[in-house]
Amino acid sequence: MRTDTELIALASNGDENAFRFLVERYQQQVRATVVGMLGEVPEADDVSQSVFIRFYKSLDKFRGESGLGTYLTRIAINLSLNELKRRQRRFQRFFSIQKEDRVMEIPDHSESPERMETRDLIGQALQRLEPDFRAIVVLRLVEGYSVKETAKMLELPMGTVASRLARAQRKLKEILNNFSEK
Amino acid sequence: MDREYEKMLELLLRSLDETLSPGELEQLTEALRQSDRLRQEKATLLKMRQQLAEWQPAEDTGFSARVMQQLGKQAEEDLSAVIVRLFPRVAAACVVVLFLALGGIYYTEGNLMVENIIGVNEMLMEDAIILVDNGY
Repeated sequence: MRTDTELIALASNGDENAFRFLVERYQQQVRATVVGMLGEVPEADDVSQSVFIRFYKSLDKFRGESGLGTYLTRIAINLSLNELKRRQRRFQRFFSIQKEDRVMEIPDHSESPERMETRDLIGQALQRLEPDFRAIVVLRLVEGYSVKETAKMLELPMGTVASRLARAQRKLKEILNNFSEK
Repeated sequence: MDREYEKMLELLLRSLDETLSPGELEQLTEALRQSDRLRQEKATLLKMRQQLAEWQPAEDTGFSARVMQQLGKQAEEDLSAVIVRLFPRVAAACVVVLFLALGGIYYTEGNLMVENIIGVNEMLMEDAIILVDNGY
């Protein structure tokens, strides 16, 4: 089996199959980060694709200082955070047009948790965290990066990551408890 | 009591992601030995972390094909963008060359008559007839 470095070199020389292998190798990792951040929504697919397209365009710039998985995860987390900001702006615009004091109706799939698989429960619980906390949980607990690596990727002090992680876990536990009580 | 429990819970959460000092570790171990609630909390947290570590979105078998298709589309768009971006420069360069050529003709011929521009004034009528007869 070819290494990432070999595949990157081939892809840089225009070998599309080599690039396809790289996509297949890292798609689950990238999708886990993006879906963890955005939820199972159509935009998650667009953002996941954008991660690889952006990587393809910067193949020559990839120095291999960090592993390819880490490099792609960093792109994935940044693009997801950008998408969340865009989503927030869209909502704000929508509500400023509406100018009505209505409560935002988000479909609540938590009504029948017994039907949900653990995967869905975890996915939904993640979506209920604030984006900054979610990013930390996705990187540290889903992707398994250390606190130090997570801090580096998010450009945050390690202490901030550790304290947000602790708060996020308490919140997640609370959310999951609520799901199981319903 | 609750304050002490909160403190131990904080230590417990920290212990899952960082190395505690020997003193803190001893405190936590003792608290875990004494408190059922804290032990249960630890078990719940570990189970939740395990579930998160195992969490993966549903598999998407067509993903790589879509990425490759998107790349092909992007390459076409990029080429169009390059052409659009370069067009003004190429057009400007052509205009400069044209003016230089016209300037050269004016300098040598003293006017810009069509015959001078296309160069037929230097051709004799007989030569023109021969060229036409030979199919040029």
